[in-house]
Amino acid sequence: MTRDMRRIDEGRLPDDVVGAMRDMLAPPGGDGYWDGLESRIMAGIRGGAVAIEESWWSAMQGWTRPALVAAAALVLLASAAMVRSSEAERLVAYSNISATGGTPLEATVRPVALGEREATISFLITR
Amino acid sequence: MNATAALITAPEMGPFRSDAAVNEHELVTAAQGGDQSAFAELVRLHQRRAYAVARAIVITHEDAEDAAQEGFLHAYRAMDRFRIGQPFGAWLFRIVSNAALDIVRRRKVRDADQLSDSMSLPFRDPGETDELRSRLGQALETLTERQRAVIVLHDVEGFKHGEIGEMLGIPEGTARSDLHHARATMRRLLKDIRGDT
Repeated sequence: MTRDMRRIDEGRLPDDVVGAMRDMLAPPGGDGYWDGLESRIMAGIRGGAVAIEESWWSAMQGWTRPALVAAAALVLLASAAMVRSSEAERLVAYSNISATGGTPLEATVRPVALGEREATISFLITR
Repeated sequence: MNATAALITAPEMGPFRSDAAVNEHELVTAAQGGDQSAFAELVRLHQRRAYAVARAIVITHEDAEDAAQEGFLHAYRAMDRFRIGQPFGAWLFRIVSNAALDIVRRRKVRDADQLSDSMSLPFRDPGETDELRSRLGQALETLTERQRAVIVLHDVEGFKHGEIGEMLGIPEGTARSDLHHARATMRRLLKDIRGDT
């Protein structure tokens, strides 16, 4: 133990060498330097915090216009889709009527008004 | 009384006294709640050591200051991830050392073609007349970056091997080995001007 401790102590660099290293690595400007560094650090933090807030806000502001445009486009697309869908339903209904040429008029007309399921049931009943 | 005021009115204290630890705990809690003046107090408490950690890793004073500033900024942004009960200094110095290591990596990429020139600059002071300091600068230049960081952090700043290992991202044994080799190199290079090294 004692021998180990001595070996560690022997390993250490002499105090004047360590002192010279400390001087060499010290920042210029003496004690006043630390006040300046603290100010610069805090200015960076305040600036960073403001930048983060601003970037969040400006990003939101930047997205407002595209978001409105996108919303308007979606409304238009949805309207167009609804129109197309009702058009397609009408065509399907018409082709259903056309396909049932041999059935009585009442049975071919009523399914359009009642829907597919009721039309089928009604068709089967009339047979 | 808020955390900052509590620290200011407290008597002169060293960084390792328990009352200081209590105050630091209050400051950290306040800083986590967004109190910038509490964080400023933490900066005041730790900036010298943070700079020293950075200075051990990077080559120039300017880079050390940049690393210290970046480290504090990262720490501020990560305050919500700091777990109360950990030593704040150790957590902070790890962040600062990471910032310093990043700067070293960026410098390596940027200065790849000017390596030989820049390596000769850091510790050379044209007005230096003291032979020990002059030779010491040259000796430090011959160490690897990691050996220089380890010897400065251990012998000058007083960090333990385990702490150095954590800061530099190396095993404790590697830190010990680096320190051994760094000391041996320094002793050999300074031998002719110092009979006792």
